This record gives sequence, structure tokens and C-alpha cells, in this order.
Amino acid sequence: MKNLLNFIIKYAFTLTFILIEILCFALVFTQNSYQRFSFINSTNRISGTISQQWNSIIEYTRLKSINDSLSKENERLMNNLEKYRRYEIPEIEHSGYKYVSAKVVSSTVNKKQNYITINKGKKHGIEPEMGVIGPNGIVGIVVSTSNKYSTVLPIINPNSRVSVKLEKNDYFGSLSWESQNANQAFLSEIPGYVSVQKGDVIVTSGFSAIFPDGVPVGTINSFIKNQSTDFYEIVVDLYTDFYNLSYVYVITNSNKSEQLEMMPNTEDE
Amino acid sequence: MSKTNIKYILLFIFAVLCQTLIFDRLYFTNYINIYIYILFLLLLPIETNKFLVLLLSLILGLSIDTFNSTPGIHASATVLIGFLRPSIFRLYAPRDGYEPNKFPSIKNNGFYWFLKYSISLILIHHILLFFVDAYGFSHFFLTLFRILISSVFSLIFIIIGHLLILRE
Repeated sequence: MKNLLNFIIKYAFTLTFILIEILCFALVFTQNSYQRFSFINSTNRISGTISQQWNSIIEYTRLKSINDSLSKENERLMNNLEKYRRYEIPEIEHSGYKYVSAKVVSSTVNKKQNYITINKGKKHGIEPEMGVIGPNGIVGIVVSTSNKYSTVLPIINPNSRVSVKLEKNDYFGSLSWESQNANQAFLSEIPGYVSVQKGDVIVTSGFSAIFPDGVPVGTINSFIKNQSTDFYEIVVDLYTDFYNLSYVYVITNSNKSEQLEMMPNTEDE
Repeated sequence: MSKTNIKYILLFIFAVLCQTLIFDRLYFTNYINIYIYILFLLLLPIETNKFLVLLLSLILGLSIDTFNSTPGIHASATVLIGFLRPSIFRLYAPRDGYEPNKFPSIKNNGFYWFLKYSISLILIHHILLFFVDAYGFSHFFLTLFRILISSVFSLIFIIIGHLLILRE
């Protein structure tokens, strides 16, 4: 009888383990992002607050690099502004894009499933599917929001797909990531007859209405032509420095539904 | 609540904060991820109820997942080592058994014993964690390389952390 009881106890332990492990794997691999992130949304009030407190302590050590990147961004924006100042700008319709600045609460860079948490949420009008850019270029897309925080799927995550184009000739491709390197991403679907050079600038295509047209993404580092498919396989050096990302902008688009209606056949991301 | 329980609660909080606020933000290269937080599971007393260990493993993993926005990834790995911990104890049991009311440590069990005990659990934890993080076995050898090199660094910091805690 004692042996039987021992056996049952042992069996119960293994059973409990298997049950919990299945639960964990379900959390990891479930396709429904609502289920996947409802856990994070309900708990990130605590983790977000702790991370934010910690950031306010150690931020001083990083002020120099933060200032440098913000001042570079100012330089770029002022040069852009100078281009437009020469023309008399006619009364044009508002594009619908608006920028909300946010601070990075926590982020990971050297994993595969990298995510970024930012300190703006539902309360500030942030919703899933909004684009996020940094001082130098594209960062990622909001995947879930709680009241005060949002989780961003950065372009350095294998689940990320962003529609981009070559700035010089407007050929479209798809940006993805599977490398071990947070400075580089992978560009595919550029047809083989297009002329491509090292250093060519890649920007967002504006197709998805998540990002406006022409947000800087990066430059071409190297490319090979796949002989069997006749498409390029291109490695892109990203502009965004994910190692030192502190401030980002969330892009809200009030015309999004109209814009998507006008182009019904494009990809959603 | 006993003094030991409070010590373990403090160790839990310390492990989670140390991992998420310091070690998750260190970048040596893209291949090295140091996971020091499993030190909490390593140091739980040998006779701790198995079910309690399993529950604590789950809570520990989910806490780390919360900070990294990766639901389930760390939890799956910690629950596995929580499950295998009793078997590892049995595997490495000294001839006359473990002393009662002790937690695994260099002082109680010897350096060599603690080394093989930590290496086993760190490797099991890292193998599952990195393959789940990579969503499977594509880039198999690259992931394997990351597992090995990260395990070495995790081991070094876990031993250092362990020695610091022993002094307390």
C-alpha cells in the first residue's frame, strides 16, 4: 500500500510538471497575440514601474550618448526642413500621421525573441499596429498595450515583417530578421533585374499605413542574387542603434482605415 | 514566517532584479546571454517539497518573462530544471546520503559536487531556453554555440554569486 501511494505521488509530480510545461509552451507558441500578451499586459505595471525607477537611477551614465543621438536627429530634421523652406507650401490636407514621444522602459537586444517596452499606453492613445521610430530610423510595431505601457515588436525579432523600398528607384521588398546581430536585417523580394549597390538607402514604403512613406531604415551592406529565384538576398545595416535606444516616437495615423481601403490588395504589415 | 523563508524571498527578489536590471542589459557579444537568476532554484534546500519547487520555478520563470515581454520562454526552462532537480540530487548523491536540513552549497557538499550539480542544471536550462527562444532547430549549430558559451559565463557568475551569498 505504501509503495502504491509512493507511486501515485511520483506519478502526480510528473503529471503536474507536464501540465505546467504544456501551459508554458502554449504561452510561447500561441498564434493569437491577444492571449499571448494579455499576461504581459496584466503584469507589466509592476515590471514597468521597477524598470522605470531603475532607469531614472542609471540614466545619468548614458546622458552623453542620448544627447548625441538627439542632437544628430535634430541636425537631420533641420536639414530636411531647410529643403522645404525654399518652396511656398500650399495648403495641403493633413496627412493623418502624428507622433507621440515615448521613453524605452526596457528592451532586449541579444536574444531572438526581442521585445521593447515603452512608457506610453492606452491612456495616451497608443494602440496595437502603430509604427514606432527612433532618432535614426525605424524601430518596430506596437503589438499590445496596457494602460500605461506598450510592448513593441522591434524589427530585430524573427516575427517582424516590414514593407520597405529602395529610396533611389522605389522597388519594394520585405524586411525581416533572423541574424544574431542587432545591427543588421535581411531584405528580400527585390527582383534580380533591379540595379543594386552597396550603400543604397532603404526606407519604408508607406504601403501598410503603419509607417509613413520614406522613414529611414538602413543602407545595403552586401547582396547576392539567388540564381534559382532571380531575387536578391540583401543584408541591410540598420540606422537604429538598438543597443542605446532611449527615446522613440509612436506614429498614430487617423486616416489609416481610409488609406487601407484605397489599397485593398497590399500586405497588412 | 521563519528566518530562512524570508532569506529565500529576498534571494528571489534579488535574483529577478539582478537578472533583469543588470545582466539582461549587458552586451559582450551577441552570442552571450548570462542567466544568473536560476541560482535561486539551485540554492533551495535539498528536501524542499517537489511540488513547491515546481511552483517556485514557474513563478521565477514568469517573473523574468514579464520583464522581457516573452511569456512562457523562461518559464518553460525553469519548470524543467525544477522538475529534474530531485533526479540530479539522486544521480550525484554521496554514498551516505545528504545531510538533513542543508541547502546545496560548496560549503556543505564540496566544490566538485557543486560544480557538477550547477553545470548539469545550467546546461539543461540553457538548452531548452535557447532552442525555445530560437523557435526550434533552424540554425542548430549556431544555437548550440550560444548555449555552450553562455553556459560557461552563467556558471562563472553563478559561482561568484553563490560565494557572495555564502558570506552573508
